[in-house]
Amino acid sequence: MTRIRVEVWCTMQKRIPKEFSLRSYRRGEEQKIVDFLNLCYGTWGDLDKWRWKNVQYPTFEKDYTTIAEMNKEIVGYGALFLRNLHVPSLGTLHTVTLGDAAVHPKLRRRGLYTSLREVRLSIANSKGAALILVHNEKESIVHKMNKKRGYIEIHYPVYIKVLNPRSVLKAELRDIIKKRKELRDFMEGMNIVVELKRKHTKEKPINGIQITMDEKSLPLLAKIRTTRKTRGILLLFALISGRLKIRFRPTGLLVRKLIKGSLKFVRFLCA
Amino acid sequence: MSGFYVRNFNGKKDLEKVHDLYKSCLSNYIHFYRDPKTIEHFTHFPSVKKTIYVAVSDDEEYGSDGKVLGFIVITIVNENGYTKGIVRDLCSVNETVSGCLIKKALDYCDQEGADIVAVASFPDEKEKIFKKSEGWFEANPYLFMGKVASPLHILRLLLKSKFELLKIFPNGILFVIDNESFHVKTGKRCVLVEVAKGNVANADFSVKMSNKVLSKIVFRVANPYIEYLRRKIKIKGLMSTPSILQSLINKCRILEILTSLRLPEMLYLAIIDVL
Repeated sequence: MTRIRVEVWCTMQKRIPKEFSLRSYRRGEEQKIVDFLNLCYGTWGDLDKWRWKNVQYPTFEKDYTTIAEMNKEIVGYGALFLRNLHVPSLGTLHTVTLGDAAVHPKLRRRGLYTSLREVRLSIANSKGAALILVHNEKESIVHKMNKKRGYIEIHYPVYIKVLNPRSVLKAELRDIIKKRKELRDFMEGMNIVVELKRKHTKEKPINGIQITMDEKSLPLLAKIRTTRKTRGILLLFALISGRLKIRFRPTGLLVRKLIKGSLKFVRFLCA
Repeated sequence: MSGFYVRNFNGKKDLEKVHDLYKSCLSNYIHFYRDPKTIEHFTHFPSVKKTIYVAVSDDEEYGSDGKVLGFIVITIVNENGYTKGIVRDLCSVNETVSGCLIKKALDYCDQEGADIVAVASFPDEKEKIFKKSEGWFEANPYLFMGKVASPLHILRLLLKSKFELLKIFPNGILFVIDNESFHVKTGKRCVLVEVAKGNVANADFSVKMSNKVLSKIVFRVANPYIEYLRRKIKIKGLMSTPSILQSLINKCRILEILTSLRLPEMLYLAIIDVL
């Protein structure tokens, strides 16, 4: 088995760009890997999580983690998890789950991700895996790519209950604003109040922007029910039907920003 | 079944009983194998706030310790600026026990200040426990995707019990999947699947399809009869057959064999399985 694995590494080494080298994980570089994953994913997790997922997993072997290096620095990472799937009245299927693939943001679009995937697939083959599984976010780039590569979607139900709608609403709105530059620029320096709609309350005068939302419409914002496009359409409907209300007092700053925004839009239409 | 009560998981003392619970409850579902080592690993999920409960029968026949009827792992994590209570693993003998464990999980999440609770459960329990009127809604931003990595292993496992169907083809069937060929034939009361090398024309029929079509059949996305009509599966007789009618009957039998390549429908997947 060791010989097969050495061959896998050697074959893959020939295929990847010359400046990179591929190898498996070495003891002592756990923290480096976690730092790299956090750099690529934003927030991935801590050392305990990595250890639990990999080294402490009952079926773990060193070769299940693949590291791409450039000038002795980690620039790519990918893991695989070997697990047995029990099929009733038939027996056991060996499966491999590919996960935690990451390429340094500055070195993307150089074929490193494909190399990391191929080396893990070769290891999976050498281990006799019958099925390959991946776990993707719906509508993400990787999801679309995997669909093209012939992967079949397997849905599994997850049920959610919101216990504290106010903080979920606030956090999700904050997240939406943080991710979009136009929104970030627009909201800068403005007073934004997020509120959940309550019955029999008189509308108070506001200072800045006030976003009021119906509790039932909360899942729309919780980014968990639909794809991004559908969510956009649903939010528009919620706005039209009055479930979501945005009120604002026309302050000088807001008017200036609105004029700026509309000028940009006109320029975009004329271009 | 008489009553039961819920208490904290008692480490290694409960481990074997929890393993027995999994063995009895998950036998009808496709699931990732759970041996005592894996279950123990799951109980060590790294989280600052975490609790594990077991539902124990208070039936006298099992003595003072009682039989474990349910198991739940709950973790509290802080992500995206709010606190999430996630039920990582849940297994129980029936929906009454599941309902009770989820209620306990909700209490724990509430106590720890969680803003949202997420649970993955048995596919046939969903409507009884997760009622819309109680504020539950189905939502998952993620999905699993699968593909056949080794047609050889898939054919070996899924055709193992199809001896009766395959024995009508004395020379076997040649499966051509992408660029690989596999000879499926019957031996003495068993089905043999081998990688075909060299002269492979001695099979009765050849079945040609892509790995994508095979994956679709295995994961129940495609129906082999429809794929055959769409010319995505090509079946060709390699030996001379006595009549057109006989050839047609044999093709129908092959499509029946292909239908048996589908994995059973019931899939049990806990959030902890999604590594």
